[in-house]
Amino acid sequence: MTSSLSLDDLLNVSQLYADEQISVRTLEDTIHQERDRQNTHVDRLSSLRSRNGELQAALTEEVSKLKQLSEELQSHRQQPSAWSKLVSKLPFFSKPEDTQRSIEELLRRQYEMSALRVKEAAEFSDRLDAAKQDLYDEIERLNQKIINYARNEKSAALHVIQLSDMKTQFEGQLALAERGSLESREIQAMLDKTIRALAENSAMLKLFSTAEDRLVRLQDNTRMLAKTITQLQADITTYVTIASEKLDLIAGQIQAIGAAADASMVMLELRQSLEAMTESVNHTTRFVSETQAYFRDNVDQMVADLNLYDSETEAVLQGNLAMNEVYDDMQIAEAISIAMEQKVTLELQQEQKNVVLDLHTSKHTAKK
Amino acid sequence: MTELLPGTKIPSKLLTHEAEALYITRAINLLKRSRLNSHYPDARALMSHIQALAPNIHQGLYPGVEMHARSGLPTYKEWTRVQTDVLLAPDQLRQLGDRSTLAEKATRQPDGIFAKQLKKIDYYTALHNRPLATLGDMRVALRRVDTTQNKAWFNVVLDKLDVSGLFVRYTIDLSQQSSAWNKPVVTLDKETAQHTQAFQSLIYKFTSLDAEFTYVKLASIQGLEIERVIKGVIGPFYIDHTIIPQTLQPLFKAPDHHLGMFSVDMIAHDIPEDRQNDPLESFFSEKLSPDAQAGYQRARAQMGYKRFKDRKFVAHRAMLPALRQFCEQHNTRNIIYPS
Repeated sequence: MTSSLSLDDLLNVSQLYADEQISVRTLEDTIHQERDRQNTHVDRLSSLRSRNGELQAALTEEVSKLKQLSEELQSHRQQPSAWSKLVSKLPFFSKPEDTQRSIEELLRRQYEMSALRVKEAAEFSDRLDAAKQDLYDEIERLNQKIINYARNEKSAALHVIQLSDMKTQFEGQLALAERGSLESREIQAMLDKTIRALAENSAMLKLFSTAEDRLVRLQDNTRMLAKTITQLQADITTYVTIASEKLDLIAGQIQAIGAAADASMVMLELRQSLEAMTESVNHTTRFVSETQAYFRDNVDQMVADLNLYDSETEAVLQGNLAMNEVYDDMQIAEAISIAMEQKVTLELQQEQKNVVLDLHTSKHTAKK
Repeated sequence: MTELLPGTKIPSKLLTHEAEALYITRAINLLKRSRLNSHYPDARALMSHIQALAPNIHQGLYPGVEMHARSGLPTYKEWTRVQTDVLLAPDQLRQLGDRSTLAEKATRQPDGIFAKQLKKIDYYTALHNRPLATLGDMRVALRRVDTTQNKAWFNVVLDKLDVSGLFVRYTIDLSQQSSAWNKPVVTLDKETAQHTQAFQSLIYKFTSLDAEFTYVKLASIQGLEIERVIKGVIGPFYIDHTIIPQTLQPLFKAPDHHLGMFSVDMIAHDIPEDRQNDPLESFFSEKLSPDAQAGYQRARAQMGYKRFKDRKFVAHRAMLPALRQFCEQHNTRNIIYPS
C-alpha cells in the first residue's frame, strides 16, 4: 500500500507509477489515439447512414412501382386498355409492343427485387450489430483505462500528502540545525529531493486527473454512438422481420397467382397480393424515414460535440504543458489542496461509517 | 400461413439438420446420375444451385431448406434465396472485411455477431461467382440466314422454374421470314440475334402446357415456320417427405427409397411416327373434348408433325425391379439408372 512506502521509495518517482507511465506527451498521444478510434466509428456510422439512404431510394422506387401497378390493376376492371397503358409505363417494358408480357414473370421479377432489398436490409442490420459490439468493447477498454488512471490519481494524491508532511518535517529540522553544519547540509539535500519529488508527484496527480476526465468524456460520446446504433438496429430488425414474413407469404403463392393472372382469371385477387407486397415495402419506407430523422437529430449533433471536444482537449493539454514546464509552488499547493480534500473526504466517510457502526453496536447492546 | 388466393399455396416442408443434408445429397445424386442431354435445363448449374443450399455451406445462417412437397425440388423462395445471395456476395465480402480480424473477435464470443459474420464470409466466399440455374430466361442463337428469301433460322431456349415447382426447358427450332406484314419474334443485327419481350412472354406463359400446344400456337403466327418444339422437364423427385402419387406408392417400400424423373415432350417434322413412351402421362390432347381433339388432328394433318413423349428415371437400386415392372405394365420401355 502507498501509505507504507519508505522515504527512498517516495523519492524515486519514476518507479512509483511503473504500470502506467504518463507525461503530457503520452497523455496527448492516448487522447489522440482514442479520438482516431472514435473518428473511425463516426466514419463507419456515416457510411452506414449513406447505405441506409441508398436502401431508402431503392425501396421508394419499388413502392411507387407497386402502388402504380396496384392502382392500375383496379382501374383495369372498368377500362380494359388500362393494363396495357400501365405495363408500358413500367421500366421493364420500354416498348409498346412489349405490353403482352406475362404477369407471372412481372410478379416474379418484383418479388426477386423485393427479396434482394430485404436481404440487403438484413445484412445491414447485422453490420449494425457488429458495429454496436465493437463500440461496447471500446467502452469496456476505456473503462479499464479510466480505472487505472483513477487508481494512479488516488496513489499520487497520497504521495503528495506524505511528501508534503516530509517537507514540513525537513524544514523544521533545518531550522533547528546549526547553519552551515554537515547536518544542515544533509537536511537541505533531503529537503531539495523532497521538493523535487513533491513537484513531480503533483504533476502526476494533475495528469492522471486530467486523463481520467478526458477519457470519461470521450467514453460518453462512444456510449452515445452505441445507443444510436442500438436504436437503429432494433428498428431495422423489426422491419426486416415483418418484411420477410410478408415476402415468405408471397413466395409460396406468387407463381400460382401469376400463372392464374396470365390466364386472365383473377385480376382482383392479384391486386390483393400486390397490396400485401406494397404493405411490406410501405413499412420499409416508414422505417427509413424515421431512422433518417433519428440520424439527423443525433449523429450530426454528436459530430459537432466531438469538434467542440477537440478544442477543449487542446486547451487542457496546453495548460498541462505550461504546468509541466514551471512546477511552481502555486500548482504544488493546488495539488496538495486536492489531495487534502480527498483525504478529508475519505476521513469524513470513515468517521460516518464508525458512527453508524457505533450506533449499530449500541442498539445490539441495548437489546441484550 | 394465410392464403392470398384460394388454391395457390404450395405444399412445402422445411427440412433441417440431417434431413436437410440428406435431401441435398439425394437431389444432387439424382441429377448426377440422370445423364441429361441439352433438351433439359443445365444439370451442372442446377447441382451447383442446390449445393449452395446445403447446411455445410450456410453453416446455420438459414433455418434449413424448404422443399416443394409435390415436385420434390426446393421451393421458389429457396432458389431465389441463393440467386439473391450470389448477387450480393461481392459487395458483402467487401463490407465484411478481413477474415482473420473477424476470426479473432469471434473467439471471444463464439455465439456472438462476429461468429455469425465469420460464417457469412465463408458462405459468401462459397457463393462468389457460383454458376446457378436460370429461373426464367430466354436465349436465341442464329443458325442460318438466307438473304435471297429474307429468311433466318434460329434456335430458341427458355429455361424456367415452372409454377409446378419443376424445372422446364423449352427448345424451339424455327425460321422467320421478314416481310412488311409480320412482326418479328427475333430481331437480328450484324452479330447477335435477340428475341422480343413479347415472344419470351408468349413461351413463358406456355411452360405448364405441352409441346404440341406451343407448336400449334407458334405456327399460327404470321411469318414463322416451326421445325421442332421440345419440352424437357426435370422432376418430380420423390424423396423423403414428398407427396407421392397413388399409382407410384407401391414402389416405395423403404424410407430411404427415392426416385427422380426426367421427361421429354417433343413435336417435330422429322419424327417417323407418334410415340408415347411415358408411363405416367398421356398426350395432353387426348385429355381434351372430342371437338378439341378433332381440331388437333386437323392441325397434325395440315402441318405434318409427329409427337414423341418419353420419361427416364433414376431410382434407388432396390426399386429397380418394381419400376421396370411398372413400365412394362404401361407398355413403355424406359431408361432407368440406379442412384
